[in-house]
Amino acid sequence: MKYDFVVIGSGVSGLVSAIILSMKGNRVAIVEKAGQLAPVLKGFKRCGIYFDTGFHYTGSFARGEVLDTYFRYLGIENNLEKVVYDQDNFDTLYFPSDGFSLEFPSGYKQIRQRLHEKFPGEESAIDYYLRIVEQEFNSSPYLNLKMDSDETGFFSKYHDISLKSFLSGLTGNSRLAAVLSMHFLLYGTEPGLSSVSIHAQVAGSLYESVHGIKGGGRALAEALIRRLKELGVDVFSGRDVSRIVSSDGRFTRVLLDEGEVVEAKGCVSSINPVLLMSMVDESAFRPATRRRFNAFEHTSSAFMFSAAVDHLPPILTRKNFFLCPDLELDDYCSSERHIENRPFFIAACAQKNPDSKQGLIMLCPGSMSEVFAWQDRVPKNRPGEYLEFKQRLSQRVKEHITAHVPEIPDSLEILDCATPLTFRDYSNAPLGCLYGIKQKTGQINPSPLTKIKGLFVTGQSLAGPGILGAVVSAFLTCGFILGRENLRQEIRQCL
Amino acid sequence: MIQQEIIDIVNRSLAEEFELETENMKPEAHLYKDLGLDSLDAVDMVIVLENAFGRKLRDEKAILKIQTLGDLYAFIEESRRNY
Ligand SMILES: Cc1cc2nc3c(=O)[nH]c(=O)nc-3n(C[C@H](O)[C@H](O)[C@H](O)COP(=O)(O)OP(=O)(O)OC[C@H]3O[C@@H](n4cnc5c(N)ncnc54)[C@H](O)[C@@H]3O)c2cc1C
Repeated sequence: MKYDFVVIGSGVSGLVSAIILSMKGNRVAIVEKAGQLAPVLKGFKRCGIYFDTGFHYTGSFARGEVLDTYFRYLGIENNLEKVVYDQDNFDTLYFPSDGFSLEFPSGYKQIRQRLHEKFPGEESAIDYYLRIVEQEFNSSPYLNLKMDSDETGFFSKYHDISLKSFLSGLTGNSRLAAVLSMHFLLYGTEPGLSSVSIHAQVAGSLYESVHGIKGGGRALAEALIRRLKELGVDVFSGRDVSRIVSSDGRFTRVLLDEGEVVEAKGCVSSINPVLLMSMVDESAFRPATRRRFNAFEHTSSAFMFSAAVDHLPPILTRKNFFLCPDLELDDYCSSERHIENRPFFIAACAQKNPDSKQGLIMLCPGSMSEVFAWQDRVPKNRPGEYLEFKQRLSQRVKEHITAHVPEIPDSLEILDCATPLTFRDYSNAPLGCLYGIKQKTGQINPSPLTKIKGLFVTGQSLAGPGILGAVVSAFLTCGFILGRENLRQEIRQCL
Repeated sequence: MIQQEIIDIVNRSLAEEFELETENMKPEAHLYKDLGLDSLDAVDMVIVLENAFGRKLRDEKAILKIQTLGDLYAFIEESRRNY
């Protein structure tokens, strides 16, 4: 059977690409390495509690905002119930060393006011920062659908300035700079390396509005998959694409690990661009491109502790909690830090449990080097030492969190610990990276087009991080296939 | 008059990174029509030349106007003067 398009990977970007292409009358197949579609979004169950992995919350999802508009275009909005986060405090940033805390409200006006109260004397720095974030966010035609044309350049001034140097030019107050940069943890590129533009994409979306989805990442995955099936997309799950074949510079087919072949006229790949390089013919890309792709750095990996508590504390009701060890954000992801000195992102599970126990996750940066000894083993085959390592780490984290976040009840029971190996094994992410490639200052990210005609790339933070970034990336890539301005105009009709 | 050094560095970098034949690399050679580069290569070309010359070359308007190798040499020469 020959398809019009084969999509590799069923993360958000792969699913959205498959839906768009299929809505346009193409015959589409999607190939996923994991046994189930959308492994990163779907989350998992432990002791009867459902835990989210790849989706907790997002910005720009209020009615009429950009993510909402994309979801309406895709026809999935009726199957998603929004959960509005606490508008007065969607994220708490807490520094136990001196008890400082900041409750981030949503809305530019409210943020401005809160920051003015907390940082007297810094009003002009705060105002300037917020103005640039808003301006940068709105200068992207894929985040600001009200823009008339999609013309953008390769280069912009704020793409070449690091968040850190931008902020140090505005203020000498290192706490203020740390507070404004803290959301880097949601895209994984440290403030000294990330550009103001990429920060603005993520922070700017949260400053607009903050939402979760009832039922969490699983509900989003299910809505996308239901739409995919409605459109008749063929699904090959539990199949690993091993080779992308081209002839005379044109894509022809993908080879799956067990000798299966999927032929198509075109291919959209949503797998990590560094992995992609090893799947195509050497000669298909210029040396300069290969070198550039291979030089992309991966975002940090993590340890994720899933835990049960007998009741959810108010600090996690429609809000998240960041436990911030110090002001050295550029060093936050260093594996040299003791686990007690790492930042923690703490969030409640999206699904309420009918019985008494409630779930929460605690996520901190982690590196493959810390679990290196077990990296060659398949998950079921890891020795007892690995389990002991995870148990020791879990015990330390329990003590640390209950000591420093008094609101978390002592009933906290850690049920499982995901490591960089877990992230690698479940999503084929190199080194277990959470968010694809690092979006560094001045780095030019891959265009959706490749040297192989008919082969396009998407996802993996190429256009931007997180769910919103993955959705934008899919629309951008499909725009290259279907005609950018046409697609954008159609989306604008859903505004 | 463009310095020979600039010409040499540009030719060497492009030959190596884009697998171009050196004998085709004449100043009048059209990047797209004669040398087989395309708009996709423009981004990589900028990065390769930035590394070779150790300075930023991100003047989009000027880059869009470059058609021939000679234009490219002149662009580099100009960027050196503005640096
Ligand atoms: C712990 C965690 C928490 C997060 N929290 C949030 C959040 O709260 N909000 C938010 O917006 N974002 C969050 N993110 C980020 C968000 O989940 C990702 O940005 C997004 O899911 C990326 O989607 P993607 O399509 O680019 O990649 P992926 O979801 O990684 O999709 C790639 C797919 O390709 C498959 N694949 C790989 N290799 C092959 C192969 N050879 N053959 C076939 N298939 C292959 C993989 O199995 C995978 O399913 C979080 C991420 C993590 C890990």
